[in-house]
Amino acid sequence: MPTEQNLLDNYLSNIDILGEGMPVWFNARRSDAAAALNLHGLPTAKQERYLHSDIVRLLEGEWEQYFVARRHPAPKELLPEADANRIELINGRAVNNGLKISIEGAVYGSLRAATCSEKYGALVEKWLDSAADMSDTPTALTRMFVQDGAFIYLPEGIEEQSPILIDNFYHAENEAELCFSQTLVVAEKGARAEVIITHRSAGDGRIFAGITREAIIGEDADVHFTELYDLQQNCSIVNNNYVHQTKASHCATMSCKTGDGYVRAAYNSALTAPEAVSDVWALFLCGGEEHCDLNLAVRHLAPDCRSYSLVKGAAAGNAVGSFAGMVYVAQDAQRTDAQQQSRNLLLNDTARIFAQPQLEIYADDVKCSHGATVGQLDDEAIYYMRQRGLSEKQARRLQIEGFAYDVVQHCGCQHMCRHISELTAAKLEKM
Amino acid sequence: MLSVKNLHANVGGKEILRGINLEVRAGEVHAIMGPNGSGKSTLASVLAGNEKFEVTAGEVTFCGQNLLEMSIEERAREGLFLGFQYPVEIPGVTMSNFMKMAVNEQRKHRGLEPLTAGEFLKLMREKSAVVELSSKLTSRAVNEGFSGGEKKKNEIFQMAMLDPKLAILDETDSGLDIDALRIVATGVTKLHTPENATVVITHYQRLLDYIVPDYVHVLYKGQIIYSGDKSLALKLEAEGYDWLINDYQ
Ligand SMILES: Nc1ncnc2c1ncn2[C@@H]1O[C@H](COP(=O)(O)OP(=O)(O)O)[C@@H](O)[C@H]1O
Ligand SMILES: [Mg+2]
Repeated sequence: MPTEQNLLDNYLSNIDILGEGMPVWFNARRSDAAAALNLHGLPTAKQERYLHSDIVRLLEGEWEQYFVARRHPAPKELLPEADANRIELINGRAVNNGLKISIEGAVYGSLRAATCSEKYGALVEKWLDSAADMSDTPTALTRMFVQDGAFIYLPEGIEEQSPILIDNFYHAENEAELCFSQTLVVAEKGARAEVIITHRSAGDGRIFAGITREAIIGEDADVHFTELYDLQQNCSIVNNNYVHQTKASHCATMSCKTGDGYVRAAYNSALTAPEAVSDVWALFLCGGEEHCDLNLAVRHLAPDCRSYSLVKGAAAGNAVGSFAGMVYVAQDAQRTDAQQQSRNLLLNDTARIFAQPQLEIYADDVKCSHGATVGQLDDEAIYYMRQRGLSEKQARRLQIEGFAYDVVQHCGCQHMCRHISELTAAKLEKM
Repeated sequence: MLSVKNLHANVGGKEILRGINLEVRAGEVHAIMGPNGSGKSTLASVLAGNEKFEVTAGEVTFCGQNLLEMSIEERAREGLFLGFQYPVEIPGVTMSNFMKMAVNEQRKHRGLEPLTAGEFLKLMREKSAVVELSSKLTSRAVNEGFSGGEKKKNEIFQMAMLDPKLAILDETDSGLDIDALRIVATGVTKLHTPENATVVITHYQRLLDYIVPDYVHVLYKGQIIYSGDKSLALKLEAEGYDWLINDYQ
């Protein structure tokens, strides 16, 4: 099992190959991240944010790490019918090590390519690591080893018509692989786009993927993220997202876990200038022995911002779901309007869901609400549906789909909507 | 069609139905009246198979089969429909999706192919017209945000969609204004044929102006204490139940 020390040793003995071809500043920040990991250690259940995520246990066993690109079988194209700007990553590395420009002018492609490019290198240097929190050790760990990921740049005023699709594919055969990637999204003033991020996996080997994503949403910009975790049981993801919003910007995130693999996802938003708006919808479906841990933190740092979040979880079998939410309102963030709701459904007596919404408010003129419920299926509704001829199983399914609907309806393009609905239905069938 | 003999049922250890006898033949309309708490809804629930109630004695046959051995959905697919006194709201489940599944399950049971999307839409349009249910409501979640009247119309709409052999309508008329009552009652009348049967549970005679019952039964403390023709309903409306109850005691 890689302990902090193993990881640091591995880092030090591969430092040259890790940073080969990357700018000095990029590699210098690796050392800062290594220092942070050394200082804080891997998260244990003693850290509140990782209360229900045993990262150390996830890392048990022998792992391989590769610092040069390797061959993998190409996965089936995702959403082939969708007219999307595609970024394809395998185990965190871009399949096409380049950048593309959409008709509307959005720049997208490999983070490595952007970092090393003359045109966008300075932009990456300015914004990469600016929103991420290195005291979160999985974030630091990712930064230590990162060699690639996705990059999206939306120049001022562009309105991207086709979704930008980041297709993360994880693959290991006959071995266990640790992989890391970092994504940077920069939306300049007034830019708009729809970004779809999917995570899927194949192969009989285990995968542990550490991911950090930062999104810098400029004034009046509007970016909608849809993120889907459709992982095999042998693939685990720890995904830390950081959104930094400026004046009157809007960022919406819909996140959905339908796969069987372990997911620990954190969505952090900082509303740093007035009238910024953040919306988050999340759904996790867990069955069997699965585990899913969702963390949500919204920081209101300026007045007149609004945030809304709705997190829904359903658990069956011996699954464990957990949700930890935090709304922080700084002293001068007056007239904050913040709502955070967590609604959960236990489908049997052995599944468990922990929900912990928290408020921390230092301003006095605010409208904040939060709440969490854990309930069961409504027997009356099932009786009603069966009275119309549905089987008990169909009635249960329909009710759970109904439960999921107010999250699922926020998914990106229509193709993605259909994809998520199908995966949700297939997951419910198994739960 | 339906034959109930000496039916006893409990809920929470308490006996609610205490020996019900009822015969319903094809083409008939029966009205069941009686004071609050007499067991009318319980009777409807037990016939529909609600698992909250425990049948302790008696027999029920429905179209020649032992109804009490059938699951809730088997009863429904065999053509038994219950119009709920309190229709249930099901968030996130659209009426059209729900009805499509229900209709197709019932068709499957009868060995029929599922309806195509086009056929289904046509059926929805046709049947929602029976109770003047707006198409806005059929695209919404089941009963969610429906007014009291809309919920009752929605029950009859579902009845129209499913075309049951036996419909038991539990206080489908309560809480309706005059217009809604007329629409609901005319709807039920339109759906009545010589091949099917309707049992209406009601408090009021006014529904029976539209749906003329062949028999009126009075349920009291879990037993049918009196049966008559439609004039009984008028008499009950004018004089209440006291004369019957006094007689019975
Ligand atoms: N789920 C239940 N648990 C306990 N008692 C019930 C339940 N449902 C009905 N009852 C009781 O059974 C009796 C008959 O109720 P009901 O059938 O609803 O009467 P009606 O429809 O004639 O007004 C009442 O005394 C009522 O309190
Ligand atoms: Mg009743």
